Amino acid sequence: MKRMKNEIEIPERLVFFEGCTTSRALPETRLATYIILEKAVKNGIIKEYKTIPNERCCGYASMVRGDFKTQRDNLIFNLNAISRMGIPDVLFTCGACTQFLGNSPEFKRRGFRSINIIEFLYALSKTGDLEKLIDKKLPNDNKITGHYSCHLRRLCGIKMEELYREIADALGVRYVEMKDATECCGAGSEGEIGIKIAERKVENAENSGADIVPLACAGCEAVLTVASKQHNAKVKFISLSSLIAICFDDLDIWIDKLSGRKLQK
Amino acid sequence: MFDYQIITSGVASLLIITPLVMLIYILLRNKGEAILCMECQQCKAVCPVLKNTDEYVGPKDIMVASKSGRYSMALEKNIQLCATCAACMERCPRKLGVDALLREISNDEMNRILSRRTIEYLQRIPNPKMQRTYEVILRRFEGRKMNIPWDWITKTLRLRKSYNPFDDNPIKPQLETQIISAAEGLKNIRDSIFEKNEK
Repeated sequence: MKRMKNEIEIPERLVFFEGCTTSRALPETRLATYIILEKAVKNGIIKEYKTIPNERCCGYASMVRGDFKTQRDNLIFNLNAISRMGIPDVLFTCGACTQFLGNSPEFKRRGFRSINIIEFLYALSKTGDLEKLIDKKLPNDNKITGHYSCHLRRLCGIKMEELYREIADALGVRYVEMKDATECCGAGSEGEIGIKIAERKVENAENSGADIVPLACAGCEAVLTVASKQHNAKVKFISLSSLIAICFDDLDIWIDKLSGRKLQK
Repeated sequence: MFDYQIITSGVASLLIITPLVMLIYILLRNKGEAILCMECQQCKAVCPVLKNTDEYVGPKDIMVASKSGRYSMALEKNIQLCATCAACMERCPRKLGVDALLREISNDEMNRILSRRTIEYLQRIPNPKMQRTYEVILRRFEGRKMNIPWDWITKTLRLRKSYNPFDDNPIKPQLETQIISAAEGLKNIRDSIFEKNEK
Protein backbone atom coordinates (compact mmCIF):
# COMPACT_ATOMS: atom_id res chain seq x y z
CA MET A 1 0.00 0.00 0.00
CA LYS A 2 2.77 2.42 0.85
CA ARG A 3 4.51 3.80 -2.15
CA MET A 4 8.00 5.16 -1.84
CA LYS A 5 9.22 8.12 -3.85
CA ASN A 6 11.65 6.03 -5.84
CA GLU A 7 8.86 3.93 -7.24
CA ILE A 8 7.24 6.81 -9.06
CA GLU A 9 8.48 6.75 -12.62
CA ILE A 10 7.24 8.70 -15.59
CA PRO A 11 5.30 6.29 -17.79
CA GLU A 12 5.79 6.39 -21.55
CA ARG A 13 2.12 6.04 -22.32
CA LEU A 14 -0.78 6.68 -20.01
CA VAL A 15 -4.56 6.68 -19.79
CA PHE A 16 -6.13 9.84 -18.41
CA PHE A 17 -9.13 8.82 -16.30
CA GLU A 18 -11.07 12.05 -15.89
CA GLY A 19 -13.60 11.09 -13.24
CA CYS A 20 -17.08 12.48 -12.77
CA THR A 21 -16.22 15.56 -10.72
CA THR A 22 -13.46 16.75 -13.02
CA SER A 23 -15.37 16.18 -16.24
CA ARG A 24 -18.67 17.64 -15.02
CA ALA A 25 -18.00 20.23 -12.35
CA LEU A 26 -14.43 21.42 -12.87
CA PRO A 27 -13.85 22.29 -16.56
CA GLU A 28 -10.74 24.37 -15.75
CA THR A 29 -8.98 21.44 -14.16
CA ARG A 30 -9.96 19.22 -17.04
CA LEU A 31 -8.69 21.63 -19.69
CA ALA A 32 -5.48 22.33 -17.74
CA THR A 33 -4.69 18.64 -17.43
CA TYR A 34 -5.25 18.16 -21.17
CA ILE A 35 -2.90 21.06 -21.89
CA ILE A 36 -0.19 19.64 -19.60
CA LEU A 37 -0.44 16.23 -21.24
CA GLU A 38 -0.44 17.71 -24.76
CA LYS A 39 2.64 19.75 -23.96
CA ALA A 40 4.34 16.76 -22.33
CA VAL A 41 3.76 14.79 -25.54
CA LYS A 42 5.17 17.64 -27.63
CA ASN A 43 8.25 17.94 -25.43
CA GLY A 44 8.81 14.19 -25.58
CA ILE A 45 8.33 13.52 -21.88
CA ILE A 46 5.56 10.99 -22.55
CA LYS A 47 4.88 9.32 -25.87
CA GLU A 48 1.11 9.48 -25.91
CA TYR A 49 -1.95 9.69 -23.71
CA LYS A 50 -5.43 8.36 -24.20
CA THR A 51 -8.82 8.93 -22.62
CA ILE A 52 -11.80 6.63 -22.23
CA PRO A 53 -14.51 8.10 -24.49
CA ASN A 54 -17.56 6.77 -22.64
CA GLU A 55 -16.00 6.54 -19.23
CA ARG A 56 -18.21 5.74 -16.28
CA CYS A 57 -18.05 6.62 -12.62
CA CYS A 58 -15.27 4.78 -10.80
CA GLY A 59 -17.99 3.28 -8.59
CA TYR A 60 -17.19 5.18 -5.43
CA ALA A 61 -20.53 7.02 -5.43
CA SER A 62 -22.51 3.80 -5.72
CA MET A 63 -20.31 1.96 -3.26
CA VAL A 64 -20.84 4.36 -0.36
CA ARG A 65 -24.57 3.94 -0.88
CA GLY A 66 -24.26 0.18 -0.70
CA ASP A 67 -25.08 -0.39 -4.36
CA PHE A 68 -22.50 -3.08 -4.99
CA LYS A 69 -23.84 -4.28 -8.34
CA THR A 70 -23.60 -0.91 -10.08
CA GLN A 71 -20.15 -0.45 -8.63
CA ARG A 72 -19.00 -3.80 -9.95
CA ASP A 73 -20.50 -3.14 -13.41
CA ASN A 74 -18.81 0.25 -13.64
CA LEU A 75 -15.49 -1.10 -12.45
CA ILE A 76 -15.44 -3.92 -14.99
CA PHE A 77 -16.55 -1.61 -17.80
CA ASN A 78 -13.78 0.90 -17.08
CA LEU A 79 -11.10 -1.74 -16.60
CA ASN A 80 -12.08 -3.50 -19.82
CA ALA A 81 -11.82 -0.20 -21.68
CA ILE A 82 -8.34 0.38 -20.23
CA SER A 83 -7.31 -3.21 -20.97
CA ARG A 84 -8.32 -2.80 -24.60
CA MET A 85 -5.97 0.18 -24.93
CA GLY A 86 -3.14 -1.93 -23.57
CA ILE A 87 -1.75 0.82 -21.35
CA PRO A 88 -1.19 -0.14 -17.70
CA ASP A 89 -0.63 3.35 -16.24
CA VAL A 90 -3.71 5.37 -15.32
CA LEU A 91 -3.56 9.05 -14.39
CA PHE A 92 -6.19 10.49 -12.06
CA THR A 93 -7.01 14.03 -11.07
CA CYS A 94 -9.28 12.90 -8.24
CA GLY A 95 -8.28 11.43 -4.90
CA ALA A 96 -11.35 9.26 -4.53
CA CYS A 97 -10.82 7.66 -7.95
CA THR A 98 -7.11 7.15 -7.24
CA GLN A 99 -7.87 5.39 -4.02
CA PHE A 100 -10.98 3.52 -5.01
CA LEU A 101 -9.87 2.22 -8.40
CA GLY A 102 -6.20 1.96 -7.46
CA ASN A 103 -6.80 -0.10 -4.33
CA SER A 104 -9.44 -2.38 -5.82
CA PRO A 105 -8.27 -6.01 -6.12
CA GLU A 106 -9.39 -6.33 -9.75
CA PHE A 107 -7.30 -3.28 -10.73
CA LYS A 108 -4.21 -4.75 -9.08
CA ARG A 109 -4.86 -8.21 -10.52
CA ARG A 110 -4.77 -6.83 -14.03
CA GLY A 111 -1.40 -5.23 -13.31
CA PHE A 112 -2.50 -1.60 -13.65
CA ARG A 113 -0.81 1.21 -11.79
CA SER A 114 -2.62 4.28 -10.50
CA ILE A 115 -0.85 7.62 -10.64
CA ASN A 116 -2.29 10.74 -9.11
CA ILE A 117 -1.54 14.10 -10.72
CA ILE A 118 0.60 15.12 -7.72
CA GLU A 119 2.76 12.01 -8.11
CA PHE A 120 3.08 12.65 -11.82
CA LEU A 121 4.19 16.24 -11.31
CA TYR A 122 6.56 15.17 -8.53
CA ALA A 123 8.16 12.63 -10.83
CA LEU A 124 8.50 15.30 -13.52
CA SER A 125 10.17 17.72 -11.11
CA LYS A 126 12.53 15.04 -9.79
CA THR A 127 13.84 14.37 -13.28
CA GLY A 128 13.93 18.10 -14.07
CA ASP A 129 11.30 17.82 -16.77
CA LEU A 130 8.88 20.11 -14.96
CA GLU A 131 11.27 23.03 -15.19
CA LYS A 132 11.65 22.44 -18.91
CA LEU A 133 7.88 22.18 -19.27
CA ILE A 134 6.97 25.47 -17.63
CA ASP A 135 8.01 28.70 -19.32
CA LYS A 136 7.95 31.00 -16.31
CA LYS A 137 7.91 30.57 -12.58
CA LEU A 138 5.25 31.92 -10.26
CA PRO A 139 5.81 35.39 -8.74
CA ASN A 140 8.31 35.18 -5.87
CA ASP A 141 6.14 36.70 -3.18
CA ASN A 142 3.48 34.00 -3.55
CA LYS A 143 3.27 31.34 -0.92
CA ILE A 144 1.56 28.02 -1.34
CA THR A 145 0.24 25.64 1.25
CA GLY A 146 -0.84 22.06 0.90
CA HIS A 147 -4.06 20.33 1.80
CA TYR A 148 -3.38 16.65 2.37
CA SER A 149 -6.30 14.79 0.84
CA CYS A 150 -7.54 12.00 3.12
CA HIS A 151 -7.87 9.46 0.34
CA LEU A 152 -4.39 10.13 -0.98
CA ARG A 153 -2.55 10.38 2.32
CA ARG A 154 -4.31 7.86 4.53
CA LEU A 155 -5.60 5.31 2.07
CA CYS A 156 -3.01 5.46 -0.73
CA GLY A 157 -0.06 6.22 1.56
CA ILE A 158 1.29 9.08 -0.53
CA LYS A 159 3.63 11.39 1.38
CA MET A 160 1.84 14.59 0.47
CA GLU A 161 4.08 17.09 2.25
CA GLU A 162 7.23 15.89 0.54
CA LEU A 163 5.59 16.03 -2.88
CA TYR A 164 4.12 19.49 -2.28
CA ARG A 165 7.48 20.87 -1.16
CA GLU A 166 9.23 19.49 -4.23
CA ILE A 167 6.64 20.99 -6.59
CA ALA A 168 6.78 24.33 -4.75
CA ASP A 169 10.57 24.37 -5.21
CA ALA A 170 10.20 23.66 -8.89
CA LEU A 171 7.71 26.53 -9.26
CA GLY A 172 9.97 28.91 -7.33
CA VAL A 173 7.61 29.72 -4.47
CA ARG A 174 7.78 29.25 -0.72
CA TYR A 175 5.87 26.45 0.93
CA VAL A 176 4.15 27.15 4.25
CA GLU A 177 2.49 24.62 6.48
CA MET A 178 -1.22 24.92 7.24
CA LYS A 179 -2.63 24.14 10.67
CA ASP A 180 -4.41 20.78 10.62
CA ALA A 181 -3.46 20.14 7.01
CA THR A 182 -4.37 16.49 7.37
CA GLU A 183 -7.96 17.23 8.43
CA CYS A 184 -10.83 16.27 6.16
CA CYS A 185 -12.28 18.89 3.77
CA GLY A 186 -15.83 17.57 4.10
CA ALA A 187 -16.30 16.53 0.48
CA GLY A 188 -17.33 13.02 1.41
CA SER A 189 -20.03 14.24 3.74
CA GLU A 190 -23.29 15.79 2.64
CA GLY A 191 -24.87 19.23 2.34
CA GLU A 192 -24.42 21.73 5.14
CA ILE A 193 -22.23 19.51 7.27
CA GLY A 194 -19.73 19.20 4.42
CA ILE A 195 -19.63 22.98 4.00
CA LYS A 196 -19.21 23.44 7.77
CA ILE A 197 -16.17 21.16 7.77
CA ALA A 198 -14.81 22.93 4.69
CA GLU A 199 -15.16 26.35 6.34
CA ARG A 200 -12.77 25.32 9.07
CA LYS A 201 -10.32 24.28 6.38
CA VAL A 202 -10.68 27.64 4.62
CA GLU A 203 -10.03 29.46 7.91
CA ASN A 204 -6.89 27.44 8.53
CA ALA A 205 -5.68 28.13 5.00
CA GLU A 206 -6.22 31.88 5.46
CA ASN A 207 -4.42 31.92 8.80
CA SER A 208 -1.42 30.16 7.32
CA GLY A 209 -0.68 33.27 5.25
CA ALA A 210 -0.61 31.44 1.94
CA ASP A 211 -2.00 32.83 -1.33
CA ILE A 212 -2.69 29.62 -3.19
CA VAL A 213 -3.77 26.16 -2.09
CA PRO A 214 -3.12 23.77 -4.98
CA LEU A 215 -5.23 20.62 -4.69
CA ALA A 216 -4.64 17.14 -6.00
CA CYS A 217 -8.21 15.93 -5.46
CA ALA A 218 -11.23 17.07 -7.48
CA GLY A 219 -13.66 16.37 -4.64
CA CYS A 220 -11.74 18.63 -2.27
CA GLU A 221 -11.53 21.33 -4.93
CA ALA A 222 -15.26 21.27 -5.60
CA VAL A 223 -16.29 21.70 -1.97
CA LEU A 224 -13.49 24.09 -0.95
CA THR A 225 -14.17 26.54 -3.80
CA VAL A 226 -17.82 26.73 -2.69
CA ALA A 227 -16.83 27.25 0.95
CA SER A 228 -14.20 29.88 0.12
CA LYS A 229 -16.74 31.84 -1.95
CA GLN A 230 -19.18 31.82 0.95
CA HIS A 231 -16.40 32.89 3.28
CA ASN A 232 -15.08 35.60 0.88
CA ALA A 233 -11.62 34.19 1.38
CA LYS A 234 -8.57 35.77 -0.25
CA VAL A 235 -6.76 32.46 -0.58
CA LYS A 236 -7.31 30.68 -3.88
CA PHE A 237 -8.22 27.01 -4.05
CA ILE A 238 -7.17 25.77 -7.48
CA SER A 239 -6.09 22.44 -8.82
CA LEU A 240 -2.44 21.53 -9.27
CA SER A 241 -3.04 21.14 -13.01
CA SER A 242 -4.32 24.72 -13.29
CA LEU A 243 -1.33 25.96 -11.29
CA ILE A 244 1.08 24.33 -13.74
CA ALA A 245 -0.91 25.31 -16.83
CA ILE A 246 -0.92 29.03 -15.97
CA CYS A 247 2.88 28.95 -15.98
CA PHE A 248 2.84 28.22 -19.73
CA ASP A 249 3.48 31.16 -22.03
CA ASP A 250 1.67 29.45 -24.88
CA LEU A 251 -1.48 28.74 -22.89
CA ASP A 252 -3.74 30.58 -25.36
CA ILE A 253 -2.27 28.68 -28.31
CA TRP A 254 -2.93 25.37 -26.60
CA ILE A 255 -6.51 26.33 -25.81
CA ASP A 256 -7.07 27.24 -29.45
CA LYS A 257 -5.51 23.98 -30.55
CA LEU A 258 -7.67 21.89 -28.22
CA SER A 259 -10.88 23.65 -29.17
CA GLY A 260 -10.06 23.17 -32.85
CA ARG A 261 -10.82 26.77 -33.73
CA LYS A 262 -9.70 30.27 -32.91
CA LEU A 263 -11.29 31.51 -29.71
CA GLN A 264 -11.91 35.18 -29.05
CA LYS A 265 -9.64 36.78 -26.53
CA MET B 1 8.17 -37.16 39.94
CA PHE B 2 6.68 -35.64 36.77
CA ASP B 3 3.70 -36.98 34.99
CA TYR B 4 5.16 -36.95 31.51
CA GLN B 5 1.91 -38.06 29.95
CA ILE B 6 0.09 -34.92 31.08
CA ILE B 7 2.88 -32.66 29.89
CA THR B 8 3.09 -34.24 26.44
CA SER B 9 -0.67 -34.20 25.99
CA GLY B 10 -0.68 -30.56 27.06
CA VAL B 11 1.97 -29.71 24.49
CA ALA B 12 0.10 -31.65 21.82
CA SER B 13 -3.15 -29.88 22.55
CA LEU B 14 -1.37 -26.51 22.45
CA LEU B 15 0.07 -27.40 19.07
CA ILE B 16 -3.42 -28.08 17.78
CA ILE B 17 -5.21 -25.22 19.48
CA THR B 18 -2.78 -22.40 18.61
CA PRO B 19 -3.10 -22.66 14.81
CA LEU B 20 -6.87 -22.99 15.19
CA VAL B 21 -7.07 -19.82 17.26
CA MET B 22 -4.82 -18.03 14.78
CA LEU B 23 -7.00 -19.17 11.89
CA ILE B 24 -10.15 -17.94 13.61
CA TYR B 25 -8.41 -14.64 14.35
CA ILE B 26 -7.43 -14.19 10.71
CA LEU B 27 -10.94 -15.05 9.54
CA LEU B 28 -12.43 -12.55 11.95
CA ARG B 29 -9.98 -9.90 10.93
CA ASN B 30 -10.88 -10.21 7.28
CA LYS B 31 -14.60 -10.83 7.60
CA GLY B 32 -15.95 -9.27 10.74
CA GLU B 33 -13.70 -6.45 11.82
CA ALA B 34 -16.41 -5.08 14.07
CA ILE B 35 -15.98 -7.95 16.53
CA LEU B 36 -12.45 -6.74 17.23
CA CYS B 37 -13.64 -3.25 18.19
CA MET B 38 -13.06 -2.63 21.90
CA GLU B 39 -15.15 0.58 21.97
CA CYS B 40 -12.37 2.78 23.27
CA GLN B 41 -14.09 5.78 21.58
CA GLN B 42 -10.87 7.26 20.26
CA CYS B 43 -12.44 7.41 16.81
CA LYS B 44 -15.16 9.72 18.11
CA ALA B 45 -12.52 12.26 19.09
CA VAL B 46 -11.11 12.60 15.58
CA CYS B 47 -14.27 12.29 13.47
CA PRO B 48 -14.68 15.59 11.54
CA VAL B 49 -18.44 15.10 11.12
CA LEU B 50 -19.07 14.56 14.82
CA LYS B 51 -17.24 17.80 15.55
CA ASN B 52 -19.89 19.67 13.57
CA THR B 53 -23.12 17.84 14.30
CA ASP B 54 -24.69 15.62 16.91
CA GLU B 55 -27.05 13.99 14.45
CA TYR B 56 -24.44 11.67 13.01
CA VAL B 57 -24.16 8.15 14.37
CA GLY B 58 -20.37 8.19 14.71
CA PRO B 59 -17.75 5.55 13.93
CA LYS B 60 -17.97 3.78 17.26
CA ASP B 61 -21.73 3.32 17.00
CA ILE B 62 -21.38 2.00 13.45
CA MET B 63 -19.08 -0.63 14.91
CA VAL B 64 -21.62 -1.40 17.62
CA ALA B 65 -24.46 -1.61 15.10
CA SER B 66 -22.42 -3.92 12.93
CA LYS B 67 -21.47 -6.06 15.92
CA SER B 68 -25.00 -6.38 17.26
CA GLY B 69 -26.63 -6.69 13.86
CA ARG B 70 -29.08 -3.86 14.55
CA TYR B 71 -28.34 -1.99 11.37
CA SER B 72 -31.43 0.21 11.56
CA MET B 73 -29.89 1.86 14.64
CA ALA B 74 -27.12 3.27 12.46
CA LEU B 75 -29.35 4.10 9.50
CA GLU B 76 -31.78 6.13 11.57
CA LYS B 77 -28.91 8.37 12.66
CA ASN B 78 -27.72 9.66 9.27
CA ILE B 79 -25.12 7.10 8.35
CA GLN B 80 -24.73 8.78 4.94
CA LEU B 81 -22.98 11.78 6.53
CA CYS B 82 -19.73 9.81 6.83
CA ALA B 83 -17.01 11.71 5.00
CA THR B 84 -14.97 8.51 4.31
CA CYS B 85 -11.85 10.35 5.46
CA ALA B 86 -10.49 7.33 7.36
CA ALA B 87 -9.38 9.50 10.27
CA CYS B 88 -10.98 6.95 12.59
CA MET B 89 -8.99 4.17 10.96
CA GLU B 90 -5.74 6.06 11.46
CA ARG B 91 -6.49 6.73 15.12
CA CYS B 92 -7.85 3.25 15.95
CA PRO B 93 -5.36 1.21 18.02
CA ARG B 94 -6.36 -1.84 16.01
CA LYS B 95 -6.55 -0.01 12.66
CA LEU B 96 -10.13 -1.07 12.05
CA GLY B 97 -11.79 0.55 9.07
CA VAL B 98 -15.32 1.81 9.36
CA ASP B 99 -15.96 2.30 5.63
CA ALA B 100 -16.35 -1.36 4.71
CA LEU B 101 -18.88 -1.89 7.52
CA LEU B 102 -20.73 1.23 6.49
CA ARG B 103 -21.13 -0.08 2.98
CA GLU B 104 -22.24 -3.44 4.29
CA ILE B 105 -24.90 -1.77 6.42
CA SER B 106 -26.13 0.37 3.52
CA ASN B 107 -26.21 -2.60 1.20
CA ASP B 108 -27.99 -4.82 3.69
CA GLU B 109 -30.59 -2.20 4.50
CA MET B 110 -31.18 -1.54 0.84
CA ASN B 111 -31.69 -5.21 0.14
CA ARG B 112 -33.82 -5.78 3.22
CA ILE B 113 -36.32 -3.01 2.70
CA LEU B 114 -36.56 -3.18 -1.03
CA SER B 115 -35.53 -5.99 -3.27
CA ARG B 116 -33.46 -5.20 -6.31
CA ARG B 117 -36.50 -5.66 -8.55
CA THR B 118 -38.47 -3.13 -6.57
CA ILE B 119 -35.76 -0.55 -6.99
CA GLU B 120 -35.71 -1.09 -10.72
CA TYR B 121 -39.49 -0.76 -10.74
CA LEU B 122 -39.34 2.41 -8.66
CA GLN B 123 -36.91 3.91 -11.12
CA ARG B 124 -39.69 3.99 -13.68
CA ILE B 125 -42.03 5.92 -11.39
CA PRO B 126 -41.48 9.60 -12.03
CA ASN B 127 -44.28 10.80 -9.79
CA PRO B 128 -43.49 11.08 -6.07
CA LYS B 129 -47.19 10.59 -5.23
CA MET B 130 -47.10 7.24 -6.93
CA GLN B 131 -44.07 6.37 -4.88
CA ARG B 132 -46.06 7.14 -1.73
CA THR B 133 -48.81 4.80 -2.88
CA TYR B 134 -46.27 2.18 -3.55
CA GLU B 135 -44.85 2.66 -0.11
CA VAL B 136 -48.26 1.98 1.49
CA ILE B 137 -48.67 -1.19 -0.53
CA LEU B 138 -45.17 -2.25 0.30
CA ARG B 139 -45.72 -1.79 4.01
CA ARG B 140 -48.87 -3.84 3.96
CA PHE B 141 -47.04 -6.61 2.21
CA GLU B 142 -44.08 -6.44 4.49
CA GLY B 143 -46.44 -6.61 7.46
CA ARG B 144 -44.33 -4.53 9.76
CA LYS B 145 -44.18 -0.93 10.81
CA MET B 146 -40.99 0.68 9.70
CA ASN B 147 -39.89 4.00 8.31
CA ILE B 148 -38.76 3.59 4.77
CA PRO B 149 -35.95 6.12 4.22
CA TRP B 150 -37.32 7.67 1.04
CA ASP B 151 -34.82 10.49 0.91
CA TRP B 152 -32.05 8.01 0.99
CA ILE B 153 -33.62 5.83 -1.67
CA THR B 154 -34.34 8.69 -4.05
CA LYS B 155 -30.77 9.90 -3.71
CA THR B 156 -29.55 6.43 -4.53
CA LEU B 157 -31.85 6.26 -7.51
CA ARG B 158 -30.63 9.62 -8.73
CA LEU B 159 -27.06 8.42 -8.49
CA ARG B 160 -27.93 5.23 -10.29
CA LYS B 161 -29.63 7.20 -13.01
CA SER B 162 -26.74 9.56 -13.64
CA TYR B 163 -24.16 6.79 -13.77
CA ASN B 164 -26.41 4.20 -15.31
CA PRO B 165 -24.20 1.33 -16.43
CA PHE B 166 -26.71 0.13 -19.00
CA ASP B 167 -26.65 3.36 -20.92
CA ASP B 168 -24.74 2.95 -24.17
CA ASN B 169 -24.49 6.63 -24.93
CA PRO B 170 -21.40 8.43 -23.72
CA ILE B 171 -22.57 10.27 -20.62
CA LYS B 172 -19.41 12.24 -20.06
CA PRO B 173 -19.78 15.75 -21.55
CA GLN B 174 -17.38 16.45 -24.37
CA LEU B 175 -14.52 18.86 -23.75
CA GLU B 176 -15.60 20.98 -26.73
CA THR B 177 -18.84 21.93 -25.00
CA GLN B 178 -17.02 23.22 -21.93
CA ILE B 179 -13.92 24.72 -23.45
CA ILE B 180 -15.04 28.37 -23.65
CA SER B 181 -15.98 28.65 -19.98
CA ALA B 182 -12.96 26.57 -19.00
CA ALA B 183 -10.60 28.82 -20.96
CA GLU B 184 -12.11 31.91 -19.36
CA GLY B 185 -11.69 30.39 -15.91
CA LEU B 186 -8.07 29.47 -16.54
CA LYS B 187 -7.23 32.92 -17.90
CA ASN B 188 -8.90 34.54 -14.88
CA ILE B 189 -6.77 32.45 -12.54
CA ARG B 190 -3.64 33.36 -14.47
CA ASP B 191 -4.42 37.08 -14.46
CA SER B 192 -5.27 37.12 -10.78
CA ILE B 193 -1.97 35.49 -9.85
CA PHE B 194 0.42 37.20 -12.26
CA GLU B 195 -1.07 40.67 -12.43
CA LYS B 196 -1.31 41.06 -8.68
CA ASN B 197 2.45 41.08 -8.67
CA GLU B 198 2.77 43.79 -11.31
CA LYS B 199 0.58 46.28 -9.49
